[in-house]
Amino acid sequence: MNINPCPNHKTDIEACCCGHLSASQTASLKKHLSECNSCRRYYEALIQQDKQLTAWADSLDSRIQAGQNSLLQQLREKEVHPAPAAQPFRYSYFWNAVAAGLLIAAGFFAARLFQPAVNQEKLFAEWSRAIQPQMEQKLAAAVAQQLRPELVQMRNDLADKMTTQINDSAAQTVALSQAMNAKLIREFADAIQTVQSRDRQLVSDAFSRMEEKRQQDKKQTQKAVTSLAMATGEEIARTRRQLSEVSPVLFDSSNTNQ
Amino acid sequence: MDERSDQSLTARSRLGDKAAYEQLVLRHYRNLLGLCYAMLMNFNDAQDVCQETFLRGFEKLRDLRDDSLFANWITQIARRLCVDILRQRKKKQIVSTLNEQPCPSAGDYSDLTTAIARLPDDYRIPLVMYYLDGHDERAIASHLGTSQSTVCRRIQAAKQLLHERLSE
Repeated sequence: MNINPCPNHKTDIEACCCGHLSASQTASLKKHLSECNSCRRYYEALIQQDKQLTAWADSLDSRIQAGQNSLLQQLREKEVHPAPAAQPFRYSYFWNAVAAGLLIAAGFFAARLFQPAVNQEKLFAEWSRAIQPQMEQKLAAAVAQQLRPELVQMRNDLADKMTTQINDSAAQTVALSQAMNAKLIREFADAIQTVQSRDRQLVSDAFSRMEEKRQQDKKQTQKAVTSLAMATGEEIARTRRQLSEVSPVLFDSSNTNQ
Repeated sequence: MDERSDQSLTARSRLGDKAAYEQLVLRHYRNLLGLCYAMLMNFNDAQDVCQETFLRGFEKLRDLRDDSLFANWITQIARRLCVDILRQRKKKQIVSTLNEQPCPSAGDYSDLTTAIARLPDDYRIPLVMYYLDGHDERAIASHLGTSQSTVCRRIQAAKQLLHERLSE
């Protein structure tokens, strides 16, 4: 059967069972447990489970002890091979590399030390006299024969390459310019459209205002006509009254004739 | 657990001091057995692996670079041995995990053992170590190479899950 403790006390109950609550927290929880049935049942179930687990662990205790003793016995009977305190060959690769480096350095310095002495000035004079003119002649001939056509070819290639590059860049510039022009034209057209729509709006607003004004005028005119009619009626009535006062007989006879 | 003491005992053990190594065995045996039992869920296999681990550890102490990390190092050896056994079991297709016969004198905890065996590894290992080694969370954290708070959280979660499964 599942027990559902209060969600805000569940963690505290579990911590309390593991002994992770302070004295004040425990007292507060105990107070809540005395009031809340489901929390108390959950707490008791956890305590019961803890006892069960402890009993289970205790039931293995004798076997653990036996195993531990057996291991200790095996250790005592085992031959001891103490590890060396220092391990000289542990980094043998490193020391081999160091030795190889030292040998190479020693060989280099030995070669420098015991190399035969050379008279460089004499050697250079002989070379200048015997070999240099011939080498210069051969070099000039070789340049004339082989390098010149290659240089011409290289120059032509370079000229072609430059022309191609110039054409490419010109084409790119034209394309860019066209794109820019198209963009400007679009912007200009957009601006015109904006202005036109604004003008249309203004005209429309003006027409609306005129219509409004006309309606107002119409109303006022109707009102004036009405008031004029009323005034005229009143005037006729007054005139009629005056006439009846001036000549009642005439007015009566005329009324009778009518 | 005193790490400095572990360090000095390991250093002495490396020089062949059996008494020092026995101290280390006494200190870490239950935790390691808990780990092996949680991984294998077979007590006899766990005992064998635990003993093999300590014997190998004694032979290979020279490979340990930092003596203060003995607990973590020996746990790694045990883990590797347990993984080997689990691999062998898979090969031989022996399902011995849940078929362990309970100890005749220990009472019947088969339901509890089955429920523990079905917990996820992360919860089962600290829970079993916790109960087999007298509730020492710091030692468990040291063996598993994690923090004490993580161990506490996993044990609580394991208990909660166990409660839910046992009360179903």
